Amino acid sequence: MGEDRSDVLQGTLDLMVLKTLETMGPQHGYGIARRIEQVSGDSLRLNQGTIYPALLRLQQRGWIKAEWGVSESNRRAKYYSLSRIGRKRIEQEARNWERIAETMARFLTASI
Amino acid sequence: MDWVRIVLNRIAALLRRRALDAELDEELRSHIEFAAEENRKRGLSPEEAHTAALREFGGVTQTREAHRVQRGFPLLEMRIADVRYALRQLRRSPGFTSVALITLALGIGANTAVFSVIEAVLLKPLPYRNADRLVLLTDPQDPQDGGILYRDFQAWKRDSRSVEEISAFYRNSGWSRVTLTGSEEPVSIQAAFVSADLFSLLGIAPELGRTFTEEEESRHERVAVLSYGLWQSHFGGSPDAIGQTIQLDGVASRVIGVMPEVFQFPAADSALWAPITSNPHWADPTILINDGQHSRGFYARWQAVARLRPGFGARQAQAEMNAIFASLEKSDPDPNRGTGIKVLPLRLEIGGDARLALYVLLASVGLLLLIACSNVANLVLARGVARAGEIAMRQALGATRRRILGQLLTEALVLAALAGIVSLPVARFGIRALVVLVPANLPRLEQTSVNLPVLGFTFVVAMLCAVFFGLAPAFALWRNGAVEKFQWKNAVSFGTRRSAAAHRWLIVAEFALSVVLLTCAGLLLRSFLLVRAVDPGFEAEHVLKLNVSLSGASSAWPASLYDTVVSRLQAVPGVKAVGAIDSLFDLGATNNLGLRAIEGRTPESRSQWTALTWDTVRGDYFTAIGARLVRGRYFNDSDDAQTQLVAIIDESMARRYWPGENPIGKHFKGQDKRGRNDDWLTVIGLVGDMHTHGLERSATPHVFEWYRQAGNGTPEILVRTSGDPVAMASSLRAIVRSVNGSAVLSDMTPIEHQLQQQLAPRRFQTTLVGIFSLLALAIAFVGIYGLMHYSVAQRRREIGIRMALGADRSGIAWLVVRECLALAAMGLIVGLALSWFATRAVSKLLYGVKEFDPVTLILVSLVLVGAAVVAGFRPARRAASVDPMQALRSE
Repeated sequence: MGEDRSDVLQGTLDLMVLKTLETMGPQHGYGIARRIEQVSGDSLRLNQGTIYPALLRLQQRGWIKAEWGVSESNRRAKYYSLSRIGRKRIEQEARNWERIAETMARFLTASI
Repeated sequence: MDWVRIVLNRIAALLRRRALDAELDEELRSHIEFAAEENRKRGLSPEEAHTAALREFGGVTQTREAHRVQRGFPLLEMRIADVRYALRQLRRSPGFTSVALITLALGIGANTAVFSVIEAVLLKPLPYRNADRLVLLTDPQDPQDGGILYRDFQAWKRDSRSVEEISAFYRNSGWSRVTLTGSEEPVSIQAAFVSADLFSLLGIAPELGRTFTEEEESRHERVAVLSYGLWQSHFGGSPDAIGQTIQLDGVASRVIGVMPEVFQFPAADSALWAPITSNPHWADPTILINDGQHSRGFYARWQAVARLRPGFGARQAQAEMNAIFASLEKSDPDPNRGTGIKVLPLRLEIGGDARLALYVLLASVGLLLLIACSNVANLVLARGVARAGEIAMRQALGATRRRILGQLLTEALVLAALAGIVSLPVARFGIRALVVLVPANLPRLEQTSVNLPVLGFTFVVAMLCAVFFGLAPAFALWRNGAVEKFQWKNAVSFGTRRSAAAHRWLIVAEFALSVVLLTCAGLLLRSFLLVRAVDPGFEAEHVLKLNVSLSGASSAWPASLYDTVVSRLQAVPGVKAVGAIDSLFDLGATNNLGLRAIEGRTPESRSQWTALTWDTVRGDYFTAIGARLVRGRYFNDSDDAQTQLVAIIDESMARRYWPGENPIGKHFKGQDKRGRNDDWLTVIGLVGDMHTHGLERSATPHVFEWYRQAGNGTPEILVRTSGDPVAMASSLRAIVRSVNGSAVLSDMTPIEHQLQQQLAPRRFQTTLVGIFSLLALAIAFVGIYGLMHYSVAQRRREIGIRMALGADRSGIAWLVVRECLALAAMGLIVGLALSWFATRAVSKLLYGVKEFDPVTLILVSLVLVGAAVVAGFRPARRAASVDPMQALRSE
């Protein structure tokens, strides 16, 4: 656990989950968690458990759907997929996040 | 609308918690399995793979918890759990629960009942349009009956900027009473003569038909709008009433409309409304006598009701009226004008004197509830001490102090809410009792009900109770360390010693509040007894009063009718004396009147005038009422129009004008209706003061004239009988009927009843405050008894030691009684201090006693100390009978 690994910022996890589902298609919780870890490499410290409240939150908003299914290894698992609303919202959420990131970056350069 | 979906989702989740929990568990299990499988593929042993998977997952329990928080309403779920727990706790101790519930329900119910009366009578807005901006414009000296000049009214209508709409009406109850004939028996009803725009100003549409127009008003048309009550009683609520003709004072009037029941203006007894111009006294020159220096007091008494413009308060309107009044006085002087104009908010006018009494009642039940709450708090506290173990355990298991306080408060709220529900039938019963018992005919009393505002009041009161008896003991437990320093073994003894202070303070508070209530009740009781003991100045027993009038209140009175009636009644066996007078038991305001001339004195200016009553008597009036002749003689038949004008005066009159002198033979001039204002009257008799304007009022100067010289009607007939006057009522009625079939006979009552009725409001409030104070004392008594009983039980060991060391039994008993006395004494001191404020609040209801009344205070103190001693007696005996060997061995 290196010092340069950061915790997941509040709100970013939702977008990561959405983006993962968009690229990978329907996935179970473990799959989503692994994907996020792989994409972010070693720079993010993720307790895999934390994606479950995020998944529930997205479900409550109606952005994703969940369905029980069977994995390749023949294990019962809950599969998540994007809903129509969720698909529409990804773009908007992504833009939001870019704007925040941009603003943040500007602040950081300005302070140097 | 994300949040709508979120809330709906959460509510849905709330309903299937268990299923969702199981689903989550399965999902998490499969997650770990996936991870472990992958780890195994990387070459880890099965155990290592599982451990690593769990590590990467990072806390299954936390995830579950976070998931649950996200899923539902965690705070709400916690509350629900608390409520369930509280209900379980309450069920587990039925004794405590039932005592607390009954105490609280009675207290809250009594408060709700009194409040609902206040709500209906005082708080509920008047049913008129923008009722908060309605004001009455009246004579400042006599707001009830005083009047204003009609042309002044027109000037205000023209000049005032603060007034949006204004309408005049004729209020004086005597002069706008009319006789309704046509049905079986003539009846006397209260009419109201009003401007056409009154109905639109108040914003009330007729129930049926229409109201009259300004054209009808200016044409002096005889049309009438009936009250709902009159419509029901005379036309059976039939729509055919419209267009029918009724006889008012012998003149035909056409019914054009019916007002709804809520319309009770100017008073609840207004039975019909007619154009102001159809009043027989409208612009009647004969009643406006004015000879420059002197004027009549009883000219047209118009009053006005107005709606202020938005943004104008009564005070601004008052300032403007003062200015207009002053300029009118300058430009158009008129001695008939009053001394000013008073602007009164309409809501203040209605409710009147009963207001204070009702608020005193509410304060009394409020105090009673406070005492009841103290007792419940004591119970909760005692239970809390017993539960210190449970609380300490919960704390040890990780519950925060806030959480436990929340739990305790929830328990209190649940208890109070239950009590609130149980209290509603109590309140309903209380309201029914109050509506029957409240004697003063309060307006809108019949509208009292448990409605939404009343329920809101009950709810707030119940919740306040909960905070009081729930939180106070909870804090006391902590402050006294019953919980923190809790140890299994000495839980009980430790808890009691420390929390006993809280118990004691609650008892002191109960005693103090009881003292306040007892003091007020004592003062009211003393006042009641004093009023009852007032010598009315006449002998009320065996006297029947009946009112006989003829259609046409203002038309000339056929003197022969009264002569015949009086002489016929006198001839009835069992009748001792018959007399008559023009007005009796007028409990309204008395007018200030001046005498034109008084022998031996300079005439008084208007500002020096005082109340004066002027009556005409007939027959053996003084004998019939049982007056006391002090000097001189009564009238007799040789006094007539040809002989000198004579008068009988009372002692107040003699004191007022001829103090220290013999008034017999003195001369004075007065204001009378004969138009012979410059005749001298000679005093021929002096009678003792009679309290015919109300027992509580000091007697006012009174002049009696003889009917042969004054020529007024004397409708109030008094019959003194040798036996029970009620038994003779029907035969007397028949005699009057036989003399004149169209005579209106009303108010046939023994005058003793009239006196009882005058006492009724006072009897009512005294009884109620008395009952409340005794209940308060009883609750406080139970409280201190319980505390002492408990304390003796807890201190058995200490008592045993004392006895073993040689204390004798009477000393031990004294220990207990002394403690009772100490608590009572503290309560007494605090209570007496509080009474100082409370009695000032009720001072207006007192009669003949001062707010600081040593007799009452001493009695209250004795009662309280006595109660404390009695309460301590049994616990003291129990303490004295402790067997030291057993007490020491048992622990």
